[in-house]
Amino acid sequence: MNTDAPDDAVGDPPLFEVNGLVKHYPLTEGLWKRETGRVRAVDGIDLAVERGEAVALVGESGCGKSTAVRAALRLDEPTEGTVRFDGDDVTAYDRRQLRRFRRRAQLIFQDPDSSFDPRLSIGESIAEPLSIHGMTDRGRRRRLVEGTLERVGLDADDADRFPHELSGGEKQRAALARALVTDPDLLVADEPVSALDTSVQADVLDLLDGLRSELGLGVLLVTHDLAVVGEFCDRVAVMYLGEIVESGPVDAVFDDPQHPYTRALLASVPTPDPRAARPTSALVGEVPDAADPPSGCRFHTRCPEVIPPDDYDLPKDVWRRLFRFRLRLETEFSDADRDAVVALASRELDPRVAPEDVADDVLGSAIRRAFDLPSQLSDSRAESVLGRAVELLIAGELDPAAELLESEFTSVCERDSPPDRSVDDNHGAACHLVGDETPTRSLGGE
Amino acid sequence: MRDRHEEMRDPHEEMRDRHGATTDSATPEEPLLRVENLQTRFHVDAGTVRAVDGVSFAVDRGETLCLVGESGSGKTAACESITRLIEEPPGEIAGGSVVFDGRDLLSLSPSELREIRGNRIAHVFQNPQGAFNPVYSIGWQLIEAIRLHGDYSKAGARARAIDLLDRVGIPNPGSRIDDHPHELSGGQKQRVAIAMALAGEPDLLIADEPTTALDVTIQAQVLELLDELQSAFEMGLLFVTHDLGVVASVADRVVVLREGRVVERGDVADVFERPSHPYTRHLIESIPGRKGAFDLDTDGENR
Repeated sequence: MNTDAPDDAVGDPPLFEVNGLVKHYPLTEGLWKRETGRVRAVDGIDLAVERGEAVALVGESGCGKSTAVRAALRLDEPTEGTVRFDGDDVTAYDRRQLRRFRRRAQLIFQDPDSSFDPRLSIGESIAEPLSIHGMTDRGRRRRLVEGTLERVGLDADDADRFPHELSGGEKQRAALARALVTDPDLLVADEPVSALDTSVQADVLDLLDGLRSELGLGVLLVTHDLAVVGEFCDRVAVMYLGEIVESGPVDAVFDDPQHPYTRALLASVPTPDPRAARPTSALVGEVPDAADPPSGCRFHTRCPEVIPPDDYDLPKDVWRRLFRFRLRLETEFSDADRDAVVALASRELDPRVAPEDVADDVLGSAIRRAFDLPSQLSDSRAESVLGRAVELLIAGELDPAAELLESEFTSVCERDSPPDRSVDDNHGAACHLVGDETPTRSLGGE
Repeated sequence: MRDRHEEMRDPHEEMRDRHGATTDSATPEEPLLRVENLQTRFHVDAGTVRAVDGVSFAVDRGETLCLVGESGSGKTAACESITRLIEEPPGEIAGGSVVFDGRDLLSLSPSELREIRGNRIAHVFQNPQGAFNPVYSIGWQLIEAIRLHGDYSKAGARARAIDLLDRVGIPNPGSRIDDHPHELSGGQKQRVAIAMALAGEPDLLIADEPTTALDVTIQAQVLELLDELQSAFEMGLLFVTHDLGVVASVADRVVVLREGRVVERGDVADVFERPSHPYTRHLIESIPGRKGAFDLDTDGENR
């Protein structure tokens, strides 16, 4: 999502603003570390967080969300892109400025255990950032620590306890206290409650929410948990394979999701209502390798709504299965898999018949069954293509079969990267299905 | 509430509960698994922890029972006591009975128990990594499990392994069978772990937080898979989880545990709609997304 900063931005710049952020990890080979490819962990994203606002960055594991925030905070140097904090260019900061920035932008993690030194008391751990940032007065440090502990709902006396004496929820509160002790403006929280019990989660989120409104903190929440986003955040950005595919106000995105990926994510969340329909796995497969992302729209290999070509007239679900069949043949389908399909098919028919003795037409329909395809496509031209491909498959000619399908059954989704389209004020998505032709402003903009 | 709490733990009351609606006095058919007044303790330096303190429940064939609770509720200790997977010592099963298909598992010898474990009762854990040996291909391990439980030729076992991988939704099982565990994603590993658990065609599958480490999209796939397999194999499923959203979508009946005791039990719809214990109510109320604008129910039609 490489769009310019909002051109109608008036007044103060946002507290934290990321534009065109890229983080690639080179894959190298040999003694000279020749670059053979790169993992496109984050591939041009925009984000903005205002004071007092909670923004969520959501996506499946491996989508690059944690890498994105690490790069945005310069914990890993970004490959490209600009990061602005209070209008200043963070990417141009020198060491001293960076240290000041670190005090004002704090990070908390999923596992509170790993953020405490077991040999230090809670108070010493919380005071650590203060001494690092140059506060030498012990008494003053202690007073600040105690005040912060009370602010997060712990006792001032807890300063003298050790990490192992605290429960998981208390430890996460203490981690929050440590982040708050330097009086930051921005809090970046990477899965802060996913390791906690549900009832404790609610308490910690309530606390976070209170602090946000009380202190005017900007919060960037990285999470996979959409229910938490719905409860706690103002805006949300949905990330898939290094890109933001949809962003906008939480209510708008959740009530009227524009991107098929967002819809699938929402449909996968189990509803705490036993009479509701069980969540459906709208998505097949898993997030592809970021070193070799799919062409066009990166989601097209898993998309339940992948767009059919104009020249065939097929029902949507049949087209989807046909497209999936094509992708299966293209990616890592081997002779062994063909043999397995044939063996399974023939065993299903009659276990006594050897696979090589099964008639071709019977095998053909077995293959169609194995790939969830109808025995006859409604479109006669599509049917003849599929028929030929299945024949090639039976004859053991995998590559020609895959090539035939690839040349006949194509989608705009794999050819062109979808542009960002805005649906509504501040709500936009990058999908060919989103009809609005008006170019969007920055999706991450305010 | 207090009375109800005590009453819940009365085994006789419980028998009535279980059979009350359907088979009252006629033929009290024995359930597949019946756990009565189970007591599991851990002897640690600081003293004795009563992890499971008089828990009773039953699972029938083709039925899913969810054990729900937060950390420290004893749900994992309870389900690991069934096939005595807990380490003894420091653990100790101090009392109660576990009757599986008419046999008391707590009185079996280690070798008899091993026979039942894997063959008739299989486990799936939160972290599938532990189910594999990293130096062997998944096919090798699956084939080993298949031949251990049944009389298969090498080729027959391989064909069955491919079949199982296919059933748990591993794409291209003919080539993936030679992959090593590290070549699989987390979701695929859990699928293969399920395939291994199914190799012996168990009567009871005990799944302890099987989807907790997975993304929601993959979780939905695995829950759907378990549901399909359960009806295909007519298994009893004992599902341990802390996630009430998952409970609502998989359970037939629910047992809510707290600090080693049962605080509530019942039909899943009853427990969610009319929770009688304040703790259950508290759990249900603290589900994120329950309050506020985000109403998941409305998202059903968006596919």
